[in-house]
Amino acid sequence: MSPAITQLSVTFIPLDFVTEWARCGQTADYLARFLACDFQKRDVVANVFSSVINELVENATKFSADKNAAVTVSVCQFEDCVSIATCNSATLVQAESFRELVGVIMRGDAETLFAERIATPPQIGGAGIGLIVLRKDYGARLEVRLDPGVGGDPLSLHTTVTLTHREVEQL
Amino acid sequence: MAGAGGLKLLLRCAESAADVLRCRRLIAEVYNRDYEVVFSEDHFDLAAKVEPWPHRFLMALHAEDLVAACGIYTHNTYVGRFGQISENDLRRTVAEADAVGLCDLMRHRELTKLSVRHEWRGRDIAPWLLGAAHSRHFTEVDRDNAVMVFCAKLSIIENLYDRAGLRTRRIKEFPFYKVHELYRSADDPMESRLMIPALDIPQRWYELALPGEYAIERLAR
Repeated sequence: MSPAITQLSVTFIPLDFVTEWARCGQTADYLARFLACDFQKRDVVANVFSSVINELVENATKFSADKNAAVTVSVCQFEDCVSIATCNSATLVQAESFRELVGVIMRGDAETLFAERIATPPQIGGAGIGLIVLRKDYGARLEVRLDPGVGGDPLSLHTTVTLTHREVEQL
Repeated sequence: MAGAGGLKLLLRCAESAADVLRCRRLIAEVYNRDYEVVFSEDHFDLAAKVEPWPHRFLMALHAEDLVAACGIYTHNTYVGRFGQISENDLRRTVAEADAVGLCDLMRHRELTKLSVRHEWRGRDIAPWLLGAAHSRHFTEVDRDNAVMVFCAKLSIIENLYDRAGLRTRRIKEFPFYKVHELYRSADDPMESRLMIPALDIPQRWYELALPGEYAIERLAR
């Protein structure tokens, strides 16, 4: 991948977002507006980016193992695509479960998966609908990487969503 | 009642923005860890586990440490918003208590989000603090004759309300929402309940002076 043309990162403490959940949307809107400046249909594109960023910010907040450990959300503009990435603390169980979900979404048919999860949601916990929608509606590419924690620290979970300019501009 | 290791706590109402922020962070930390709940000032969605913040807070401090907090809805109570109770439900409950005229059924307060910091658990702070939070100096029910309402699972009613000597009157079962999936269970359902301050709150709690420093008592089961 070529070097980023434009980028911006925001670091926050998840407990601040747990305390006021609207901060997820506010942060997503801010970063989305920053990214959308380079597109012709700014408002439409900003809405798409905001939905994607909000999904990642909410997930990073919810699944942070340590709600006082910093989360980073970064947006990068490349020549032909945009990447949105989060990094948060996670337990091994959470991280493995999340990686498995992302694998299922990327390997499967998003429309079918969406229908299945809507029809039979889990009794407890989430169905991953938000991430499936990113794949289904925006053709997003999802990737997960785990970095081991130092000593007894939790793992670092890196989640990246890539959207091609072509997909975004067609919406 | 035996003492709980001589633990003394300063109780006072949250007044400054910093006080409110401290209470919110403690409650958010406890509720998110225990029930995966998040909060918002102006938006709520029980299916997405987003709950509305209480309007005021009572702080329990040990030296400078905030060890526990309790919130109160002074209007737009949780039971009123989500409990699917009608005016008739309230009238029936008050009539069954033979308490018509003792309170204003149009005015409700609700103590909520009682939270004890995890490191401070096991010292019987919760039942004592729940009783203390019924002080008229926090609820201000003496100003407008309001009734107290709340919703909780039955085990909490038994372990906290009953132990504090608070009498509670069943209104009806509380509906099921996703936000309570880690709280309630089929064996331990939630109910909406009502308290008539003049009848149901012991004087020791109702007249408890705030602010004040108190030795925590271990309340008998």
